[in-house]
Amino acid sequence: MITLLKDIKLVDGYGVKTDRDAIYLVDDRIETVLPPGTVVDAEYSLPGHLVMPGGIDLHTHIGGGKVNIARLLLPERPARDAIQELHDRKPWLEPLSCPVPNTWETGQRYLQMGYTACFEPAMLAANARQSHAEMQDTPWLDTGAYVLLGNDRMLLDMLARAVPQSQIEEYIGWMIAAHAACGVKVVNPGGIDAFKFNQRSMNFDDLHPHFGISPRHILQCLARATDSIGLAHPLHVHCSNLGIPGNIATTLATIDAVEGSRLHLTHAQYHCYGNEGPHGFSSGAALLAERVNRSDRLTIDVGQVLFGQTVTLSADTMHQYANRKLASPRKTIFQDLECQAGCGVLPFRYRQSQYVHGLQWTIGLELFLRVVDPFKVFLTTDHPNGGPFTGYPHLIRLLMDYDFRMSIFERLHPDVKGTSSLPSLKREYRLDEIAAVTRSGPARALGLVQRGTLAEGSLADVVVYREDRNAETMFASPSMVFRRGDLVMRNGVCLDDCPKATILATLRDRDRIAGWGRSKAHRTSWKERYGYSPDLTAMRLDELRGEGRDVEWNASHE
Amino acid sequence: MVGRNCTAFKTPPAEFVGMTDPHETARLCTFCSLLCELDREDASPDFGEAFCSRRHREWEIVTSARRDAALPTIDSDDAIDAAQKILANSKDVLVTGRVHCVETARAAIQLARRFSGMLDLWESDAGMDAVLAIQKNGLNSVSLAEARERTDCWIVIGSDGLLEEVPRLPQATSNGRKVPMLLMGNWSAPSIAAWKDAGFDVVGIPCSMKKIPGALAEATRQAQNMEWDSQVGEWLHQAKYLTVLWSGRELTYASNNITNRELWIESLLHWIAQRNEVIRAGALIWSSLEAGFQQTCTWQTGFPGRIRFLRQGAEYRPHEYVAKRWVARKAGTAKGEDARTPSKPCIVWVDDTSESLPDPIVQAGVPLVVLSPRKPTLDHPSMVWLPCASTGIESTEAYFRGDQSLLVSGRNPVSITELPEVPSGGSRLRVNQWIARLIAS
Repeated sequence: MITLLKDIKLVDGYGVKTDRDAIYLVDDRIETVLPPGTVVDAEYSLPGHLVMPGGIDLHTHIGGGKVNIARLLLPERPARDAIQELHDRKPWLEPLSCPVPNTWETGQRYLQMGYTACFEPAMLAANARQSHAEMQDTPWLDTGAYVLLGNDRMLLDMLARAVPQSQIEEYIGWMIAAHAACGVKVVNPGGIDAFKFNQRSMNFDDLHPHFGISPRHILQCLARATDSIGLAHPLHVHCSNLGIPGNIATTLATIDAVEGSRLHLTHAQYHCYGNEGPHGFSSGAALLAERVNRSDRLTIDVGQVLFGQTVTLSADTMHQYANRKLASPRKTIFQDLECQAGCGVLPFRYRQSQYVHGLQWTIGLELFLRVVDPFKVFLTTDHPNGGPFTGYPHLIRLLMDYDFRMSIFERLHPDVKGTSSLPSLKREYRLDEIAAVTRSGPARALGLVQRGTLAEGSLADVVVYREDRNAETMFASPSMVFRRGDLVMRNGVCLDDCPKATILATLRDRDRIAGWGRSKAHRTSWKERYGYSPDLTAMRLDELRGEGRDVEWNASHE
Repeated sequence: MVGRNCTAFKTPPAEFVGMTDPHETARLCTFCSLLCELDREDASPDFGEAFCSRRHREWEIVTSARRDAALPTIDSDDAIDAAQKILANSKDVLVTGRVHCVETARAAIQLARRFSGMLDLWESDAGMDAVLAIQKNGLNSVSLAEARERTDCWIVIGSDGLLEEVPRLPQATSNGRKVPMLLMGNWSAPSIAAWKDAGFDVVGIPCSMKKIPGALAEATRQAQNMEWDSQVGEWLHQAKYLTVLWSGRELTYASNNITNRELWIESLLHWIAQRNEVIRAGALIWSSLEAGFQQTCTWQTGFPGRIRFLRQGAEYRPHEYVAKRWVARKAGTAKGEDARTPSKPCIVWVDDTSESLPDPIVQAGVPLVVLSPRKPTLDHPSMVWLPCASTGIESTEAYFRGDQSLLVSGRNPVSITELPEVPSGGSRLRVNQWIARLIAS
């Protein structure tokens, strides 16, 4: 199948292609030139349109235990009449049926915005099969997941016993490979487990009440391991002290602690709070952005807050529990899980009139606007924590349109307006910068070398947008989406299902890593800890393959 | 720049995902939601009655179902045609049954969606009681391995029925340490002994199940007044991590006389939530294998069951879309008791166990499509049986453990006795394969 898109502007994170106005989609690849005489199967002349690579969301909670628990907790649905009315006016503004929609709706709504790959950031090893099962049932999207480590007692015990780093790396590699992950995430290192021992807070250098090790120790081990085993994606870090005023100090200490290793700080907005100002809560965005700007080993995704109803879900049970009284509606779920992590689910409403929520909104935007290189900051709302992913077009408009940004800023709590530096940040994102924060940057950070670019030979996952002065309208309703060269969405209508891939990590020295799971001593200690053998949660490749499903490996880090 | 040094992996790595043997399927007992691993590292040679009473019992059921299913020969094309006729003539389809594995759950949901039907498992009360309580107020819970490792005081609520349902639960909850356990409810001496043999320091507290949430709340109030004098009080007072274990199914037993199960669960969950203000505590609500359906249905539709598929999507009415009520209503209609809704109903019974059809289904007098390993005793023109393979025995499937924190994939090895061959059916299709054929055409 050969499709020609012509008379079109080509934009990816590497810039607007001024020398070309057409691309060919040849089967599943992008080509710029075809041999003379080649017959094209479909041709689209698209003046006034631009094409970008498919969007990539590197941090969105779309599959796994806590996602499903959140669905279970929130059976309420908005009145159908209201939805229908909105749908008739602007289909792309239709709210999700639930802050955590079912798998089909998730796939459909992502595709309708031009996203083609999404990554579940907090997959519990014990729960890996469920996470993958849910993602397999999410149509149209390629998916991947980061395995949660750093609160698993196998690791904590090894650290406490001062097991050599090389052996710990074998374990970490095995956990990634056996649970079909493409990265490692650490959430509040050691803190989730400390909460199970009834410790209610944990600073970066506090010791775990049972294992006697600190978050610093855990983080350093994981960051070194991630580099050493060759993971393309750096350690994905949810820092200690989530959401606590003054936590910028912890975040900076986290960065300093792993000097020399790569690091990705996730939902950074929630981790850069000062404790100054009229309410003892202020922005630390400038400090964090400055560190990101001068480091070549540090990236962030923002976790932007968007106003409205959502549900927060996190493995960070310690801090979710601390916020339990803020739940709206007032019902929460907390789980201690399998000696590996936890889960806290808490419905939440962000209000423009509320000082803290307003400031969180400005802090997220500050991060976007202060980080100079768009390949170091990625667009996320930490769906659904800061707001649903369907808010991305709105967020893009906030970044591209200063006046629009200020029109919302004016509605915030007076003390936010009095203290925030947002009005002084007049930067407006260009289209290629939007492409960088939504596609090219995440692709590079994940080692997806054939995505996020319109270069020759890249994957033919592309999106066609009708140019519009209103960026929200433009990014909410692409004209066409192609997956692997096939047209799968046109004017909001999903046409056909398409092949999907689970993206796995390429690991260095995988034979050594495989040995970890075969070792009798390791199998015995695993069984003593969990009551079952490591084979029980480990996945087989054939489980990820099937009709229309396959696996794909990312690049390794050299 | 991060990722700048990455190189594309030109040749995918060998068939390696990192597990010990990438081609070996886990050997599990799929007869109860504990999903015991029948591992070669285990000592038991045949996993027979000494290993688990339920396993032995269930094996007999599977074996007898296969024996009964041997005749007559089923022509699969004819059966599919007949089933499709029933579905095509119906305007009111109920998809119900017993669904244990994720694969069957997916298929049942797909079928109900295709025919705009109502979907509810036959024995959904136990699961839905817990869901409704959680949807009101939330939950503090703990998974099995976590509870096994962290708990320093167990409260197990129930009766012998729990150990009939999950015979090896005492072994699965014990980590070898002598941990205090309050056994509340109606336990016989052998059951108490089973918990003791697993290593727990057991105190039996015979009491009415109905009164337990209130009794625990009262005990805590006394603790706050520091008026403890009993050993039980001391245990509760000193606990740092408390786990409260019960089975949802047991609450539905009439003998336990719990009239408002939802409220009972809410009260207990409220008490656990209060304990967490001071110590750590979690509920371990043990589910049957049907939790697999509930989970799958939740991620596919947003709801745990009791739904009807409409043009706009699934509609959830947990008190209305109840299979047993639907059947009672239609049976009444068939007998002329209520002729308000001439809706041309039909039932699709989806079953991945080897149990018999429940009497109300047999007696409903409604056209019936049965997808099950066991041949129904009912035989009339408006019934079609699609003989299914025993999932988890003849094929590998994914099941949720009873704490719903673990989804495992495996199959039950032939170990107690050889399964009888099915001479006429040959290799039978799995439930999901039949449903795929039903939907395809």
